[in-house]
Amino acid sequence: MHWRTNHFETLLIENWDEEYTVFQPDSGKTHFLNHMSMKMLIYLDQKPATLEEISAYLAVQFQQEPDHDFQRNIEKVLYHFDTLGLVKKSFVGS
Amino acid sequence: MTEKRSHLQTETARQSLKASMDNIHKHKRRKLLKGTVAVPVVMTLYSGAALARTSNITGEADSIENAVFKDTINGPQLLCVFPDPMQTQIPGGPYDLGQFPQATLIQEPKIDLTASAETVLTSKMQQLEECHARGGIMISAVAYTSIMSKTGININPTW
Repeated sequence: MHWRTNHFETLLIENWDEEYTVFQPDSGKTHFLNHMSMKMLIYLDQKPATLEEISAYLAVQFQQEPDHDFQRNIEKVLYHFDTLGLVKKSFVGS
Repeated sequence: MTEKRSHLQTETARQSLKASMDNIHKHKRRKLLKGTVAVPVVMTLYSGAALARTSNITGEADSIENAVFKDTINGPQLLCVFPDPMQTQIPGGPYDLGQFPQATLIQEPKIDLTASAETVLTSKMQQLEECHARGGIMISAVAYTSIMSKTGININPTW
């Protein structure tokens, strides 16, 4: 299963010294994201990726151990993003 | 003079130290926020419109003295407001009165304003008990004014 962004191009993003406010017109909500969350979205906007791929990328970027706990945190945020409508799942062939 | 200057220097040093400590605290808070960089963080700020939609939420007045009584020809009657039965209510409040708040006036026992303060208070408390028995709550004058300015309250005295 892959993850991809959902209407990323419509988001209004302000960078506050590597912290971000993101206005999402689809929901009318404003989100606060830290640097890692924003990196996740940007990465997924460039290409759909699996949980393992996203975790590996972020682990390198933020010099983290790509262990189970780290991957679990990333997964939680992906599901949270999904709930907010910022990302969506895509299956091979879909 | 020397003593005065010494005092001034001490005060200046104290203020400087305080400013320095404030900066350290600010820096620590900032660092704490930034320190979460190893974990992705997402927080959603809810819009004013969303808050406005749920703004008929109120707690019960904290005292009978702050409750709203309507003056009628039969004396003051407690405004008894009903939490919206369609909403999930939290026991003890705050209560969601819904989009169209409903209320009634508690008519018994009658409140005789010529009676002693103690008797008046007792009558008011009895009206409150009656309101609670019907599933209603008393609200403060502030809450009443706020709700009236937004959606109004439908008062049906015969309930």
